[in-house]
Amino acid sequence: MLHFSLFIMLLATNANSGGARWCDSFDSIRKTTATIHSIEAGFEQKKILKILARPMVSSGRFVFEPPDSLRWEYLSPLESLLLMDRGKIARYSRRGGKYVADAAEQLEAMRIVMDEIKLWLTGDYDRSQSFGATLKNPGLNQIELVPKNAALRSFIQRIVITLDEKPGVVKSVEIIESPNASTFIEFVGVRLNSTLPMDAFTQTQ
Amino acid sequence: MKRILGDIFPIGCLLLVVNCLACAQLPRLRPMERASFGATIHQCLAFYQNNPFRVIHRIEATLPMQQQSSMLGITIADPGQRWIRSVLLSVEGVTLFDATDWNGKLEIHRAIGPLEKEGFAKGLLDDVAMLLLAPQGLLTDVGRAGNGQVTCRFQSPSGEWLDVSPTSASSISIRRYDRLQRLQREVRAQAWQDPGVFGKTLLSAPGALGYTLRLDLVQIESIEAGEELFQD
Repeated sequence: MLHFSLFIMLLATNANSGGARWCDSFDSIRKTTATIHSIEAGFEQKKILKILARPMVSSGRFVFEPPDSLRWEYLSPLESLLLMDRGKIARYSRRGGKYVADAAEQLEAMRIVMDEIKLWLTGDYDRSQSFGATLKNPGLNQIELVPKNAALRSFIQRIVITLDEKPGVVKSVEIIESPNASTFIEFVGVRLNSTLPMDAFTQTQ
Repeated sequence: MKRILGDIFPIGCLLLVVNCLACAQLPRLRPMERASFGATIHQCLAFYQNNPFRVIHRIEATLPMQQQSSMLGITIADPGQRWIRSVLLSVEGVTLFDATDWNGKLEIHRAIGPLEKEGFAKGLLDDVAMLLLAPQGLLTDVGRAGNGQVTCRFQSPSGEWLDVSPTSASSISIRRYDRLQRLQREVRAQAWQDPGVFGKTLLSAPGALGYTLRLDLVQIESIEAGEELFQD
C-alpha cells in the first residue's frame, strides 16, 4: 500500500542549476521537484522473502501529475490498478477480464499514505511527520527514511531511495520490512513533463 | 403486541434461513463394495503432496457484504512434519500476514490490520492445512454420499470431520464439519497438470459472515525444507 506511492513523489523535475548536484541537499531537491508537471515510468518490483527461493517479480507502470493525481498499475503477475484523481482514491483488481473495485476499508490506510506522499512530492522528506529523513551523501545519492513512531516501525524498518544523477529522477526505492523481507522497486523509461492522456487517472475498462 | 410480532416474524425467518445455510449436517454415507475401498482411498489421497514444497497462489477473496480483495499467497509445507508457513502479500508487495503452524502450535511472525484479529491466524492456517496436507486422524468410513460421490471420511484428533470426495480424475471436493457435525468449510478444487496439487480452488465458509476464497496456482516446486525456513 505504501510502497508504490513513496516512489512517484520522488520523481522531480528537470534541473535548471549547474554546479552543485540536485541531490546534494533537501533544499536543492525541493527546488528541482518544483517544476515537474507530469511523470510517467515503468517499474519492476522484486519482493524478497526468506521463504522464497528467488525474488517474486512484478511489473507495471505509473503516471503522476502533481499535486494529487496518480495512476499505479500492476501488469503482472496480478493485474491491479490504484488511482488517485485529484485526491479521490480507488483501487481495482482484474477479475473475469474486467477491473472490479476492492474493499473500501483498505483505502483508508492508503489515504494516510497519500497525505504523506504529497509532502514528498515537493521534496519535503525532511518535513515529514511520519518519517525522519537523512541524506546519504556524498556519492551514494540516497535518502534514508526511518519511521518516527514504533507502530509504523513495526511493519517498515526503513526506506532507502536512490536518486539518479539525472536531476529529479529516482532510480530505485527499497522498503525494508525486516531483515528477512524487503521490496525493491526500480524505475525504467522515466519521462518528465510529457502531455498526459485525458483518462490517465480514471478506470475505463 | 401483535404488531411487534408481525414486524419481528419476517426478520426472524430470514435469520433462521440464513443461519440454517450453515447448518448442513454430516451426511450418512451409503456402503460401497469393499473391493473398491483401496482404489477409493488412493483416489482420495492422490491430490496431496508427500514431500516438502512451496506454492504460490493468486487469491481473490469475497468477504461479507460482498467486499472484494486480491492478494498473493506463498506457503511452504513439510507434509511429513505437518509444518506450514503461510505469507499473504498485498498486490503492492506489503507483507500482510506471516505465520507458522508447527503441527498445531501457532507462531505469528507478522499480522497487519484486520489480519491481526484473534482467531484469524488459526482459521487461515487450518484452511491451508486442509488444502495442502493429507487429512489427519482416523479414516472412519468409505462410502457414497447422497449424490453418489465416493467419499473418504476422516475424524481428526480434535473431533472434526473431513469428507474428501474425488469428483473426477482431476477434481475433488472437501467438506469440513465441526465436532457437532455442522458444515464449516466447503472446497471444490481442480488438479494442476499433475495430480498432487490443486490448480484452481474455491473455498467457501458458509453463514451470514461467511466468505469465499478463489485460489489460482501460480507456481509449485519441491524444496529442501529445513526448520529454519519456518522460523523468522
